[in-house]
Amino acid sequence: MVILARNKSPDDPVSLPAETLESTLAALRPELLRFAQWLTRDRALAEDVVQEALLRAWRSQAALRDPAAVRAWAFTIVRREHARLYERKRLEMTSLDEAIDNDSAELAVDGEAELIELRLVIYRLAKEYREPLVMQVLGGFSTAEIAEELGLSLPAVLTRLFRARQQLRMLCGELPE
Amino acid sequence: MNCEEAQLHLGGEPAALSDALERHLSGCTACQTFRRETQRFERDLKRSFELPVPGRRSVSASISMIRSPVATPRGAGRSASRFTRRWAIAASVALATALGGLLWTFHPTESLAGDVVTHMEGEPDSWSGTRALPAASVAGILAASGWRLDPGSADVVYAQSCWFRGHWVPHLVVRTDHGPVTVMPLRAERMPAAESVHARGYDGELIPFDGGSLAVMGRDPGVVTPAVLDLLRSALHPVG
Repeated sequence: MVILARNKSPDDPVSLPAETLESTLAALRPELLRFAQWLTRDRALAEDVVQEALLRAWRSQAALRDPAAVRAWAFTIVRREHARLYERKRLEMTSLDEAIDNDSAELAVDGEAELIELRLVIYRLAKEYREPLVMQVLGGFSTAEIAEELGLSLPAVLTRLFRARQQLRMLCGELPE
Repeated sequence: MNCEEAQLHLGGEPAALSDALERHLSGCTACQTFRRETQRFERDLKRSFELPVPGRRSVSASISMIRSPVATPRGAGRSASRFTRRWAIAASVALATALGGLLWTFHPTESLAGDVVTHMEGEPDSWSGTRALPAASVAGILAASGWRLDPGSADVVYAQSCWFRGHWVPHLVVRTDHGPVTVMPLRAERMPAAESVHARGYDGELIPFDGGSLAVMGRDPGVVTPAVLDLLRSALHPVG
């Protein structure tokens, strides 16, 4: 096989300067942590996931093709790190009540009863519905991006997102069960 | 676009508004109301996701660990490492392309069977149920799409109403002696003759049924037997 040298193409990775990437990741950290907490339902675990994800992002910065897409790229790494963590460690399942107890202080911040109730209900949502919903609402992923990331068809994602909201509204008493 | 489809889009991606959806909304007060309620709920949902987080932690410290020579003692081998990495990436791309091509070749996207399989792949959790669901909840899901099942005729361990090819259809998983089978009565899908399906790890039958069709699929060969098909054919009835 002969490999020919070629000029730089538009598809080649365009890295951010190291300092820019570092400060961008630092600025994104609160959002990433929030995202991870809704995925893990565990603040301490979310911290670990984000820390691992940031390190992974730094190591794989050459894979960042579009510097403007750094936010979506970082969110994707967090999601994958979360999935990887579960695959690798086969984490012990914490009961939902325990998870809610552990994070009750954060869930209760802001005081409004309806908001707190909604947070508790989101915690109770099954992962298959919670994950695409968190990706859409917090991560800003499009339905097509969620489908690609989760390996689902577009209609399947749309249905899950629809059902997630319907279930939340039902559990909050807005819709009849 | 009908109301079901409009509300699926409004509830699934409230921020998106296609031309077709806009046209439907302009003439449908029920969906306008649904949209207003969804938008109000969406505001609450966004606020509820905004959990407070602790201040910035040591991103720089973590990163500097990797940047330091102690953490990355590969200085001398950098060019070799890069070369290897590029080869690895190239090999991955080539493999992914080849696999993608293979999958595309065998992917029956246009067929009803292909769509049924794709739909089942999208709901992997449907197979994990082991306990029979209450008859009332199964009846409710079936009734929403105009079907009923004879009481006590089958152990339904999963039941959902699913958006499939432009219609809400029941998606059941029924326990049989040979293993679970997915059952989807598809009123809007006419088919001239029965068709056996063997695709992407699923085996089953698509049969003409009550002017539409019935999809019965298992994950192993031999699960969808003639006896299972006969049972379902006799126990499922259209309503209205």
